[in-house]
Amino acid sequence: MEQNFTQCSKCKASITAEDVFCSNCGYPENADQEEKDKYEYRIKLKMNVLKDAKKKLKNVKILLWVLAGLHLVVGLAFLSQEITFYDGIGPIIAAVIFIACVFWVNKQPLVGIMAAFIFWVLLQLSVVLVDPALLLSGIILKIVFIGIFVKGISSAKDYKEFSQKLRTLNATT
Amino acid sequence: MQLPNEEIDISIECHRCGEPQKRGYNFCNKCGAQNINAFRRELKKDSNYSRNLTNLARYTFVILALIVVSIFTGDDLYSLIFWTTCFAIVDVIFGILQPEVWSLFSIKNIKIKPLLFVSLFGILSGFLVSYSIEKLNLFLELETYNSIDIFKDLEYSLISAIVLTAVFPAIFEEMAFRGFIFNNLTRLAGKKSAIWGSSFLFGLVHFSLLSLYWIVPFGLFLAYFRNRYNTIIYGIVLHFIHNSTVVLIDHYELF
Repeated sequence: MEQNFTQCSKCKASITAEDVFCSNCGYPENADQEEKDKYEYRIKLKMNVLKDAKKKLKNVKILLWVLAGLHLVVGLAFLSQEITFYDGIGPIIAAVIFIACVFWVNKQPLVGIMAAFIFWVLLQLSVVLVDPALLLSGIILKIVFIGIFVKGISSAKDYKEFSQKLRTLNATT
Repeated sequence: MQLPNEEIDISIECHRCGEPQKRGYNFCNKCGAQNINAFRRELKKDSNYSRNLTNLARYTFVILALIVVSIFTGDDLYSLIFWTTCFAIVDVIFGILQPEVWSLFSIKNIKIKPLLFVSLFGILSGFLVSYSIEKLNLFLELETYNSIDIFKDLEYSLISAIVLTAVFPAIFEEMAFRGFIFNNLTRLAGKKSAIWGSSFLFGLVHFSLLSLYWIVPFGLFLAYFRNRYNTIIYGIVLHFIHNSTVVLIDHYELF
């Protein structure tokens, strides 16, 4: 039996005139408006999840730029004073690592954020090693930073999954 | 428009409406229900992702906690013995929980050429690292660190130093970074990310910002070998020879 094929208006996959739904992306090509609205609603939900994930990843990137900037300023301030060369080099290396992590987050969000988070935690611990009393200094800010990192890690999966799904469905954000 | 090789297979049908479907369909063309097998695959992928992330987070947390506590408790010989043993015990416990790591110790496919290569590379990197650290410490006016110092009072100082700073770290650090961490990162984010991620973490846990210049590339090299040959034996040999070279250089005060 010869069938007439046409293209799905969403993902461009081939479908027959008898197909109510596209078997590739699930778009209700030949269904009523109610089904089409339901489909659009589901896409919108996915887009919202992706948007939220992107926002959290952006927060992590902003945090990393802030941390990089702070370390750079501290490093340069130490270098300009009569403090040892090593005291200045340490924060500058840390700033460079934070900047590298921003690019890493762009390429591979999960690993980039985890690397940056572990690095930041170890930096905090190295400070505490010098003076344990510093553990509590800026504790609220530290908790906020931890929250941003943890939310970033959990959003990395959503970002990867939903951007892939929406790309398959040919939906643009 | 005609599509070749996409006939409807009557053995495959929609779980909701029973309509026959094409092979590899994602959604039913009549009722729009998602392919139940694709749905199950997604669910499985989800649970695997969560499990791998939990495994990675748990292991990384334990290792970091161990390293941090060990740094706080000083760097005398007995602390070193105690924390090295703890590290080994943690690796063995996680090895029981994630038994696939033991297959990385397989010596079945070990070839002589790469083994010779990593051995020579280990000696070369040992010399390069010792020399460059010496020069860097002089330049930055930092106190020089001698890996043999804490073993000086022992009768068999050189052997003790090699066992504790070359044999144990080579086995258990490779098991940790090129084993657990590499495996979980590969499943979570792919091999490239696993190579970079495990190397960066390997650099961080050595707790020295200045040493990152050699530890991260060294870790990348170890991770490359782990990935290429699917074994950590080459890594263990390279790591052991590198650390032993550094200990021997310090013992004979070559630089």
